[in-house]
Amino acid sequence: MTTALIADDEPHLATYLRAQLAALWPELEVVQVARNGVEAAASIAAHRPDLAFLDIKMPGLSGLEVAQGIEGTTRVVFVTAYDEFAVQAFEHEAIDYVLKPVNAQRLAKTIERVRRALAAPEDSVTDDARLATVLQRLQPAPANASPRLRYVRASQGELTHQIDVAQVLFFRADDKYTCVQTAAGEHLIRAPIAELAAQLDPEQFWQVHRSTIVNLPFVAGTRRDELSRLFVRLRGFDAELPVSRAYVHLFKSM
Amino acid sequence: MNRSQMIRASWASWMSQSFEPVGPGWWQYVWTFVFSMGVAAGFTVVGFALFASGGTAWRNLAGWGQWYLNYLVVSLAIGYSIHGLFKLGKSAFGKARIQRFSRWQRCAYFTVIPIGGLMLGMAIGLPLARGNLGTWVWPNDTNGVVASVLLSLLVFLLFQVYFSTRHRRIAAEHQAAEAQLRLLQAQMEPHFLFNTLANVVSLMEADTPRAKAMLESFTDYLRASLLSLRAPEHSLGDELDLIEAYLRVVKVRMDDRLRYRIDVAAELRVQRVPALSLQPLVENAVVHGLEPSIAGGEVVLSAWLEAGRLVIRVGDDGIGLDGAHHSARAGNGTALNNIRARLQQRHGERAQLQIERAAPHGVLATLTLPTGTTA
Repeated sequence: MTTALIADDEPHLATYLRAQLAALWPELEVVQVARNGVEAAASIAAHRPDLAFLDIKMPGLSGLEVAQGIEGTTRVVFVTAYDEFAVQAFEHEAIDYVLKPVNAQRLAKTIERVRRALAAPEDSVTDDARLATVLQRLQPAPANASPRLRYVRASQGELTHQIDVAQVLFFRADDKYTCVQTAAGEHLIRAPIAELAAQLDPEQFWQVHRSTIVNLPFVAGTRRDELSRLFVRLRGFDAELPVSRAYVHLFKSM
Repeated sequence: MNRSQMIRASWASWMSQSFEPVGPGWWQYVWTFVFSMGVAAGFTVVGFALFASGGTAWRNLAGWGQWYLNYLVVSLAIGYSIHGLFKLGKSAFGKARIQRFSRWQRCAYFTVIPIGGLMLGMAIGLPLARGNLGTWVWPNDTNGVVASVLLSLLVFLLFQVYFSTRHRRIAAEHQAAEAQLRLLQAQMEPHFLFNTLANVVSLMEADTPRAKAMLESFTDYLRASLLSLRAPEHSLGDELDLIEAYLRVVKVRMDDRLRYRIDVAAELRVQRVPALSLQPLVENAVVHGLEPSIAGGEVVLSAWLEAGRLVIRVGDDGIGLDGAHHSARAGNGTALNNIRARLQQRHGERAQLQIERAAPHGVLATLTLPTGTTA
């Protein structure tokens, strides 16, 4: 049975979408209706639904950010009432989306496409690549996209460490800070991941998840688990880092 | 634009030495000619008043004609010299560069060219007038030369004053129109419209009375907004009705995530406020403070009189000014700038809008206005 999650901060819209889906796709099981982005991300991680209908504008995390953090095989359908730029980008990259108020005919078409895609998982790599393109295009780039970053500075009590980015294994968002991991240890800096991603050389530093940027020369390989989640393994570091669905294609073409 | 409007606009563009002259290009030369004719006529009258001797001189038509022709030759020489120098300046500096001139550069530019043109025109025009028409005495008369230079300067300065005030007035009108347009756009914000309609459609079958109530509130909001856009001021009561209609609509959408309280004494409702000066503050609190907050929160609107002034406060306990990392408060500034500009225009320094952080989180917007009731 196909499972789905609905995420929308406006309860009536979520209820209505759920009713429409029940009418057009009776076999679809809605596992949860999330009321914000954080709840949606947690629910996707816990339930691993086949499908996630994500409203773009939500408190906590936007639908785009939730999509950027999906680790398993959950496929995304964006939902929006009005967003010219997003709709343009979705149309252009052939990403599944639904307009609110949900129109039965349009929804039926989307459902048909999604069902076809779910039946042919081998095509999902190109779909994911397209999703990554759209996410990159729609996420607001930080205003101060200054020249290439070569060093980051981390304060630790009275000391400030200067770390050469070439020595960094990965950057990972950690609540209010970003954790900078080197072979020698970890440091905390304030710059958010999105800002770092905009300042680092994209050839060498890959953003593989909403909250993770890895330094390519340190990548030792990947591992796919039984839930077909992809993890990246790093030299000199014994834990693995999850790769978001939208970035899995990066490793396929290696 | 009909013919007479076009002629007027073309004349105005000549007068202000606009970079985009209206009408055919040769009209500009005609305007120089017409203007020079006017100036010559003026000087002829002044000349007669100063220099004509004997009671019969006034009735000497041939004398008038001769003086007028003299002056016309000189004025035309001056007029076309100035015209030519402006053209030369435009091609030498380029339009863009002139537009970027600082205040002083602009002042120097528009002073040096007319005075240079005046000198050049006199140098060409005076011998011309003397050569052709014989009995010209001016160049020997130092007082006359000085007087005419001073007079020209005076005329020029008057034009400068006239055009700078006119320019300021046009700029102010332009700004007001733009502010009005932005206000209209803000009231008809597409996210709000589409989300509201989506909610109405969603409720139509499941909860018809609620759908109907929402549509009614939405209609109230639209009607009140459009009426408010036409009037610069209305009563606080009108503004509160508009705000309530807005909040009723948003309440359906956000459900338990939104709470609101309007805490205004009935007798204050007759106070006069600029139209749509509070609704954008409430909308900011909702859109930038509460919608991005997972828990939602409360908007409280209160008003009171203090030291002879009306104080209105919109407070929310949302994510606050620096909020989430995707900076939902961006775009907030537009509405505030719009309100501030309208307050400044209407009340000058007597009205204020203050935005501050609320404890423990959220925003307090305080509007202070001179008191006054609606008629």
